[in-house]
Amino acid sequence: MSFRETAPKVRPISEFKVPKISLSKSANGTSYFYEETPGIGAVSVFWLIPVAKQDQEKAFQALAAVELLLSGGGGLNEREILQHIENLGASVGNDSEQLYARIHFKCAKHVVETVFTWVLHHIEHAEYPKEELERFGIIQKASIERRMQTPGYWSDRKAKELLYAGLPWVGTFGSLEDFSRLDRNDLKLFHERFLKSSSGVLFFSGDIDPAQTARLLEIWESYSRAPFSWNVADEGVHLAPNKGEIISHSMPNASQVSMRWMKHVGILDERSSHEYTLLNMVLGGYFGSRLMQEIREKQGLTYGISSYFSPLWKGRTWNISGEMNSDNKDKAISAMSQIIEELQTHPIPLAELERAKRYYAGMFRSGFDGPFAQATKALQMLVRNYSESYYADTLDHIWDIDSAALLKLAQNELSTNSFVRVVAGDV
Amino acid sequence: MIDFNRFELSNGLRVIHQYDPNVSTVVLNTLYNVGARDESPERTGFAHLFEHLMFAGSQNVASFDKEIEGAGGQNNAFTNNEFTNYYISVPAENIETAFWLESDRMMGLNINDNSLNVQKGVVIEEFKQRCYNAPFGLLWHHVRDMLYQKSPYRWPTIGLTFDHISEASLADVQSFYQRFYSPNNAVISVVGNVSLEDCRLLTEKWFGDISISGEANSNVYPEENEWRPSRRTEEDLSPNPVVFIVWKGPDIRDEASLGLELYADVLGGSEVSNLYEVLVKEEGLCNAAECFYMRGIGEGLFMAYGILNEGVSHEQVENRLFEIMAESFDNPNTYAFESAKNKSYTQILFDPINPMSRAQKLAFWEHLGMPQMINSEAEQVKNVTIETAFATAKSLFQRENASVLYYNPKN
Repeated sequence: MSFRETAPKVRPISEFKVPKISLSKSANGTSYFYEETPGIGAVSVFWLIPVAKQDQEKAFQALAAVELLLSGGGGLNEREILQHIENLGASVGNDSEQLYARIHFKCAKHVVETVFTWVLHHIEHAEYPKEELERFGIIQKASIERRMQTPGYWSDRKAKELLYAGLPWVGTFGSLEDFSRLDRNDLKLFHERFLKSSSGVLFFSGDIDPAQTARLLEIWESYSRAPFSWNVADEGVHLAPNKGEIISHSMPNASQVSMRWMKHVGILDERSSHEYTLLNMVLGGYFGSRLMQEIREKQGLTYGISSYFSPLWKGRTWNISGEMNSDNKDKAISAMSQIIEELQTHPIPLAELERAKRYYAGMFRSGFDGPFAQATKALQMLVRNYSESYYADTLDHIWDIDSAALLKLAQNELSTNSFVRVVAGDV
Repeated sequence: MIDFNRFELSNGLRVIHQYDPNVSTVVLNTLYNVGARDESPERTGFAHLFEHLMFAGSQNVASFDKEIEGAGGQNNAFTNNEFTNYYISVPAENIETAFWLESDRMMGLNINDNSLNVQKGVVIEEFKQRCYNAPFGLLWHHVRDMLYQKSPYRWPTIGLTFDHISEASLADVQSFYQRFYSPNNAVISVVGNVSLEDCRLLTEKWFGDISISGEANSNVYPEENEWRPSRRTEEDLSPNPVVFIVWKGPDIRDEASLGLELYADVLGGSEVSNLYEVLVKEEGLCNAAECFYMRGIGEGLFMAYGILNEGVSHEQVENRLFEIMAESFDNPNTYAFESAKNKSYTQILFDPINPMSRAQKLAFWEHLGMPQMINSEAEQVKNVTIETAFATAKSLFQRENASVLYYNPKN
C-alpha cells in the first residue's frame, strides 16, 4: 500500500491566542486603531464616517458627496489635488457603503504625513464644482447602464425592491434621471452636516511609528470634530408581505438566467451569528457546500452558485444566487429546494459539520495574518457592533455548535416561502 | 529584500521556497508551463477546461476541495494564454495535506466520462456568463482575432467557441495531461511558515517519485505573419459605442516593456491622465477613457479606448486618441512620469506583503528563469528614463501600425 493512499493527519485549529483588537482614544477623545509593522515601508490609513445612503434626502446624494470629496476645493481643482497625491506615489479611494463612508489611502512610510494633511485639507474644503457633478452623473449613468445588461443586476435589484419595499436605503435604487436632479447645494448640505469635520474613527496600520501616529491624530484634531455616533434614524426593517411565488424579470438580450433567493435576518447575538455562518457554509458558503457540490460539481448545471450574507443596518440579508442557462433553471431550482428541505429535516452529518468547522476555524485564524489584517478586524468590530471579547470567543463558539442547533436554525429560517424569489434574464 | 531558496528534484520539478515566520499559513503554488497558446485550433479553451478537471479527483483523492477545506485551507486556480496556476493556502500545521493533494494530481488524474461531462457543462456555463451575459464579453475574441492570423494568441483563454469544449473527448484529456502535466514542466513555490529543511523533506517525499510523462514544453509557436494593421466593426453587449486601438509590444523580459507600462500610466492610467482629462472632462466625448500595457510572455499588448457619449462618432474619438498620443510623444510630461514611477514603487512595496501574491510572483519569475526579479523590480523602475520610455512608445505606437476596433451596442 502506497503512503499516498492515506490522507496526512489534519490538526484542526482549536486554539489560537487572538491578538487583542480594540480601539484607543486620544487625549482629545478621537477613537482610533493602531498597529505597527516596522520595516515593510508600506502604510495603510483609513477612516470611517458613520454616514451613508440611509442619511440622504435625495437618490445618489450620499454617493456623490463622498465620491466627489476631492473634486475641488481649497483653491485647487480636482486635477491639481489628485496629481499631487499621485506624485507622492499614493492611492486614495472613497467608498460609500451601505452603513458608512470610508476614505482610505496607501502610501510609503516617508510620505504618510504629507498625504494625510493634503487629503484632509481638501476634504474639509470640498466645494463640489458644478461641472464635476455633471460629469459624475454622466459616468455613473453609463456605469449603471452597463450593470443593467447583466441578469445578476436585475435579480438583486428586484429581490431587494420586493423584500425591502419602502426602505429608502436598501429597497430603492433611484432612476438614472435622479442624477440630473442633484445639484451642488445638495452635496454641500450633505458635506456640511455629515462629512466636514466628521465624527470619524481612524485606522492606522503598516510601517507607521507611534510618533507619526500622534502627529496624524494632531492634524485630524486640528479640525473641530463631532463625537462619533451613527446618524441613522432607527426606522426598523418593515418587510413587504411575501406571497411565495417566483418573480420573473425578462431581458431580451440575455442567454442565461440569474436566480436569487433573498431574506432578511435581524440582529444576532455573537454566539448565534456563528451558527448562522456555519449553516450558510454548509448550504452554499464554500466550495465544499451542498449547493456547489450538487448543482455545479455533480450535475454541471452552473458555473457559479452560492449563498452569503450581506451586511445591513440592523441585521443582514441572506442571499442564495446562481447564474445558469435557462434550460437548466428548473433542474437547479428543484435541486436547491431539495437541499434546503434536507437541511430542515435531517441533522447535518458529523463529518460534514466537522469539515465546515475546520474550514471556518482555519479562515478565522488566517484572517489575522499580515500587517493590515487587524485594522480590518477592528473595522468589522465597529460596524457589526461586536464586543471586545468577540474574536477571543470565536473559536470556542464555533467548536461548541452541534448538528441539533443547526437543524433547529434551519427549521426556523430556511422555509422556501420565507425567501423572496426572483429569476431574471432569459425567461 | 525577499530571501528565497531554490532547488530542483531529479524529475526536473523546480522548487522555490521563502520562509515567513510572521504568518500562520503556508501557500503551495504550482505553475504548469501550459496555457491557451498550447491548444489545437480545433480544441480552444482546453487548457482552461483542464484547470477545472484538476479538481475532479485524482488517484487517491475523491474530492480535492473537501480535503483542503477539512484542513482549514482554501484553494483555486487560473489559466491564461501562457500558463496555468494552482494555489493552496493552508494552516502551517496542515501543510502536508497540501503536498499530498497537489502531488497526487500531478501523479495521475481519475477522470471518467461522467466527470468530464459535468466539467464541460460548468465551463460552458462560465463561457456564457462571461462572454454573452456581460458587457464587452466578446472583446478579447474580437481583439485577438483582429491582431493575429497564425499565432495561437488569436483566441482568448476561454476559447473561440464553446462547441470546442462540447467536443472534447476523454482521449483528448488524457493526451493533454500526459503531454503537459509532468514535473519537468512545472514550478512550485512554497511560501510561509515552513522552514527550508521541512520544505525539502516534504517536496522529496511527495513529488520526488513522480515520473516524467512528457517533454518540457519548448514554447515554440507558429511564426506570425508580418504585422498588418487592421480595422473592424463589431457588435456586442454594451450600452454605448466604444473605440479600441491596439498595438503589439515587447515581451515582459524585455526592459522596454516596463517603460511602456509607465508610458501607459502617464497617458491614460488614472483620472488625471491626458486621455481622461481631454476625452472625458474637457471635451466630453467619452464617459470613460484609459489605456494600459499588458506585459505578457512572448509579447505585450497596448490598448487605448474611449467609451462614447451620446451623439459622438467613432471617428471623432479615434482621431482625438491618435492626436493626444502624438502630442504626448513630442511633449513628455516629466511630472506625470515621476508620479508613475512613484506609484510603481509604492505598488512594489505592497505587492509582496500577501504570501499568496509573493508565492505567485516567485513561481512566475522562476518559470521565466529570472527569480531575482522579485527583488530587482524597484531598481528596474528607477532605471527607466522618460526619454527611453517615450521614444520606445513613439517608435511602436504610430497610427499607421494601429489596429482599430469599433464597437456598437447589440440591439
